[in-house]
Amino acid sequence: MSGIKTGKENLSASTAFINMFSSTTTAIFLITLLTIACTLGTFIPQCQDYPVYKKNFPSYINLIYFFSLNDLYHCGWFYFLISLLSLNISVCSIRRLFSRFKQLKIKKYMKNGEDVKKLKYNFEAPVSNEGPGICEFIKRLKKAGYKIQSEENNHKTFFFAEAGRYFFSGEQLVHLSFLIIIAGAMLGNIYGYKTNVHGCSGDIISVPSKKYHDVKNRIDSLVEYSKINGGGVHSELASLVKEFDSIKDKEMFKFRIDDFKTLYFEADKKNGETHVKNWNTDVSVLGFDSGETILRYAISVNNPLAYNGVTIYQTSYYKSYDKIKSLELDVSYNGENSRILFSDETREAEISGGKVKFRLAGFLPDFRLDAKTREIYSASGNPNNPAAKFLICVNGVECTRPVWLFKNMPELGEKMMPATAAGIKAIFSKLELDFRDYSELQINYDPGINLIWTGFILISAGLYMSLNVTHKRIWIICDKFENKIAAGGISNKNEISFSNEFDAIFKQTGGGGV
Amino acid sequence: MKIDEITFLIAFLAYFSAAFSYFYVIFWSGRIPGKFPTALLICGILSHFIAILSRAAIAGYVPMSNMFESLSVYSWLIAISYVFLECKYKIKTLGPFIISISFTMIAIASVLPQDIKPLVPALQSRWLALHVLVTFAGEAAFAISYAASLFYIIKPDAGPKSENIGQKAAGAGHVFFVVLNIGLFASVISYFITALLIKRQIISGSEWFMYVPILTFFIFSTAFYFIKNMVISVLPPAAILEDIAYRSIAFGLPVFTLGALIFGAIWAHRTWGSYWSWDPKETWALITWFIYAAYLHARHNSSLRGRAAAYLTAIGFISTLFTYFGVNYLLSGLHSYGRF
Repeated sequence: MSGIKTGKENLSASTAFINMFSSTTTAIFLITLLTIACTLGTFIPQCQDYPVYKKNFPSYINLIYFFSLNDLYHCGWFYFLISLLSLNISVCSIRRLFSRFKQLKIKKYMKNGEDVKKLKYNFEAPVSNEGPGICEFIKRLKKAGYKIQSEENNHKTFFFAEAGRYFFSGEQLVHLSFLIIIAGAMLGNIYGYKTNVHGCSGDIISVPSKKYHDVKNRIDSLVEYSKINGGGVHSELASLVKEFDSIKDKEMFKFRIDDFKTLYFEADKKNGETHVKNWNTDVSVLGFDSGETILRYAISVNNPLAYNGVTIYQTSYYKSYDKIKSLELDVSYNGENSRILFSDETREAEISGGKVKFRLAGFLPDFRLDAKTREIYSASGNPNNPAAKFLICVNGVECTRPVWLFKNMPELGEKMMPATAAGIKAIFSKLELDFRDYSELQINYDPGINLIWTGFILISAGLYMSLNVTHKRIWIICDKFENKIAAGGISNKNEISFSNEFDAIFKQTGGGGV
Repeated sequence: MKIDEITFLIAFLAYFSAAFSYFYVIFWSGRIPGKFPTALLICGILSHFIAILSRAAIAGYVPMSNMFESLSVYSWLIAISYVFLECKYKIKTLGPFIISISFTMIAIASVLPQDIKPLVPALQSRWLALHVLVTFAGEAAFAISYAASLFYIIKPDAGPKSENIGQKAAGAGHVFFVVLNIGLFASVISYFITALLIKRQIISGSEWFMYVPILTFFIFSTAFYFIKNMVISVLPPAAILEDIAYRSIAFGLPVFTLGALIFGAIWAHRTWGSYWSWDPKETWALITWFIYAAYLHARHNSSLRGRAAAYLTAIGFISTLFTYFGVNYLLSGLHSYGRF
């Protein structure tokens, strides 16, 4: 009857599944596939833009994108391969665990002399007064680290000597540790996050909560998407904003950058070259409500701050010419010409007896406007295209949007004035800048890290055990009636050294009888 | 010359003399080498140790931060591993090949820039010494397993017990693989020795320079092909070679795992905020680990035991060499400072 499977057929299918997933051939096959995948990933640059692949692999570009070789280590089929290997490891380990249970039930003693003789390493000798006796052999076995059990039956004594036996074998520990490491990595990927922040002395930086970070990221990417594609995400955005507002714990904690400095080695006596020794960011962790300092710490490369489950690393630094020493604007309004002065400390000025007020709201040393996302940013810390953002208030009415004034393009100033500030012409007459050192820090929250370390400890122990701890078993039958001793032994690995050890234990020197 | 340079030179000459002595005694006079080559090697190891210590004293850090320093340590550890092997197994016939690997490393190191420069911030960590030293200790053991496996492959008595021991001679493919390896190693040595002689202005560089490794490859591979039977006759039985390969990996793999993957991950976590970044160096260390894992599984599989497992061992060592040289020179990544 086709389509109906008997219980026996079902059983054989499941047995076939178990056999396949617990076989070493499957393990070797999966390891080989993963090795090939990893190798490919090192020769094809990962997570690059399309033009990079177009330039370097013009003939294979479709293949690269079809198989996600541009982000191989995070693509579906790579995860699938790891899942298959994890399944293989799990099935194999569980199966071995069962056989371990069975082993425990096996009777320890070999009572038939012929069985002992059949073992790979064996020994048989009559007991004489000149040769060593059973006591000597037992002594040697104990000295070699064997645990010995014995049982007497009429005129025969049966011994069972065993060394290197553990309930969890080294192989099982390695397999278990592999699964723990995979679990730790998954936990970190799903529930952890990583973000880069930067700031200079005095800046207060908030360490976001996981939920805040995720929702904010989704909002940012939706906003970017809508800028490029011209909207179409209003409902989704609205629900996200609602979710964002409802988050109670937006931040884990705050910290303030107290100081940032670059430390140098002493200059080279030969050529006067100086080399960076380290980058040091002094931070203070601040209390939630009071803002008082809870902890002071000097973060540097190789010396991160670990606080409240979050680790903060020194990753990089940069200089930015965004400190305004003096900025002079020549302003003409209603035929009246004035010169007003700003600096980082003086950010407000007025003309025409207070009718027009300027407020310096921002400054970028290298102004850029992203054509797609309409995002305004500084392309570098160098003053290549300095631009200052002003909020203008005319007759007590603040303009609805700010105005950007450019040092290198003074003609834009008048054109970009909002309607409420029409007639005002402002150009840079002088600009003096100073640089600030910015520290770049990485905030890392990884709840899976302890699993990773546990996996590492277990894999070290497991590998050592699986490769260096040999499970050795020796059976001895001492027959007082026939006056002879028969011994046989096996080991699961390192047979040459076991053979030498076996020979050394049962060598015919020394004295004593049965 | 400073003390580190003098002792380094002594080590260089001692390794060369030891390798040459082993070769001469075994393959020329057909005898088992006496204590002289081993004594030479031990002198080289001691001198090399003084060179490393004195460089550490001059630099003010553990000298494992660049290609020259790490290669020097690698060469030293391979030589030490060989001495351990000789003491444990009382076998000297693997000496010519293993000491040649050690000599290759010191020869390459000797042509690299040897300036002492302050460490970049990321390298100023106690994990540098732990990570590099422990990794190379594991890789030195892999070098031993590589040599043992390579000769195991051409032994007629190689293979699982189910095959008729002693009846099955090594096929042409097996011989080709071994000859190819020998030829490649010889050509790499000749390339770097020529480069060293040109650098020291002992000979002048010219167009023939590029033909030296090619010529050496053909000379050595052909020579080895013709003396292979003699080599096979002086080698220990296949079972002993297999045991050496396995025991080396039994020591090397846990040590390599600890040094390369675990210490590396802990250090990366402290420095870069990520224990794993799929950086080419990290990935190739994992590939090496996968190959040795496949070897261990192959040993448990009756159809893959024997030569197939030995091939995996040889490929594993080639992978360690690629992780070291290939990744540094061909691929870019977070470990780019190891290039110089």
